[in-house]
Amino acid sequence: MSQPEPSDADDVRRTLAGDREAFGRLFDRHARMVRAVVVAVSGDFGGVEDLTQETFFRAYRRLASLQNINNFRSWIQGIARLVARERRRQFLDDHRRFEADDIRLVVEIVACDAVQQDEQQRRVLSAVAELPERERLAVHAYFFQEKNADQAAAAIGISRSGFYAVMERAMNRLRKRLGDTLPSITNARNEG
Amino acid sequence: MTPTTPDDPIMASLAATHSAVNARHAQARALLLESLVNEVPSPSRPRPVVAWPYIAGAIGLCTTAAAVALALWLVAAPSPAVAMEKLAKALDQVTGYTYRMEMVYVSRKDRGRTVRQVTDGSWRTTPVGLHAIMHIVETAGTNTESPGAPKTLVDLEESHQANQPGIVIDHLKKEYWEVNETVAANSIPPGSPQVAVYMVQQRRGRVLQDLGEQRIDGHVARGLEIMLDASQPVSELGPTSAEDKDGGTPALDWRSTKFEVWIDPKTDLPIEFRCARRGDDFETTYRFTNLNWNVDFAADAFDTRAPSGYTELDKSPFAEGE
Repeated sequence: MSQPEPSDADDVRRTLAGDREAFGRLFDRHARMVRAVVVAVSGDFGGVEDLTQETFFRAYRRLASLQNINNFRSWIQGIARLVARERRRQFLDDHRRFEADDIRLVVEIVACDAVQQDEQQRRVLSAVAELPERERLAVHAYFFQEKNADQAAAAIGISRSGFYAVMERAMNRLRKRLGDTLPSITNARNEG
Repeated sequence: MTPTTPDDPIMASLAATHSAVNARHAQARALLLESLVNEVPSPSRPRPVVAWPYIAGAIGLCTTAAAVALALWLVAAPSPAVAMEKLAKALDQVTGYTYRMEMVYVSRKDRGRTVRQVTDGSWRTTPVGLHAIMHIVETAGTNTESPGAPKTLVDLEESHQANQPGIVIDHLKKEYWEVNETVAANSIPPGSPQVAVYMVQQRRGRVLQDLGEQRIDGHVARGLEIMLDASQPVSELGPTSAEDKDGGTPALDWRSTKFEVWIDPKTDLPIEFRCARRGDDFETTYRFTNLNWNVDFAADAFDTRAPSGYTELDKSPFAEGE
């Protein structure tokens, strides 16, 4: 008979007792959600892994201050937002030379940093970066959760139907923005 | 959600981009755990849930204290305009007062000289009465290390009552003479703070600046620098024997003079007036102190009878064209 999967609370207790592998399991369960949050809030897709590492690193050092160990998910989501906002402020400071009208250019530079090898991906990420934050979060959560809508909805704390509504709005905006500029995969394959 | 086809390029692109990051999950996990080798979760700190009520309470107390302090400050230290109006209202109620004026005139002409005038006076508003005892002493030279011998120039006593001729008595020469000009609230008696009192009562002055607080004769006083209107009455304040010798006007004109008024915040009445007049080669400073407000004067306080044994003069020896 297999052992039941330990809960977040179990892994928090074990981590505090010195079991780093337990913290690894927390990372496995929540890293995708953290990636979605840090990218959605910071707009920095290229820095997603650094920001995720920073989020979990801070969480580990502060774990003893977690009051309700059953709330690990929302707690680390708060840390992720904090880390992402810091990154965004730093990012804006770094790019202060750009005027407000050049935000789109800045967004494109970030996306370009992330996936320099793929022009199509760069343009899609630039378009996602211009969505409202709620829609950005839904898109990134959905795709980081490997298109699992239930997990994505749970990760960002909304209902399944609500999640679909947000995603639909986001995808309509993206299609409107990108329009025919993206060749279909079929066409691309055919051309290839 | 809008149905998508497997060939939707946007969906495909996003899936590919995010999958690429997820594909490195194992490496990221290993990197994270490795970075934690020398780290330990920080020890538990006092629970914020316990501390917050105290913090909130402290913030509340501080806010309340700040509000109370602000209210007290507003009451104790009103704006200069408000303080000026409070001063005027307090002076409106004044029926009379006693005062001391100390004037120091320093001339730097020739060897220089210093004239010091001290006037102890009483002023009654209704019915009008004035009594002033004036002493003027001149010291030759302005070198304080070797001053000349002081010489008494004037020892005068002046009294007025409403609707009666006034009298000036020269105790040095044992002479006296009548002063026909009747005194009134707006005919400023010499050597008195009445010029400032009257103008403030008439709201014909404005505050130039708040001078803050100063301790005067054991009282904490608040200072205002005020400028009297140009339409002020001319004062004869000051010794005619001093400035007119150096070409100045004996009838002092207070227009464009700045007064300092130091006010007792408990009564809103002045504790002291100060002002100064400066020329190229002289400086005169005035201090009106020993201010006692709303004094009950004795019945003979403003007696205009001449002392026995003194000679009556036809006119003032200081009058023009003498």
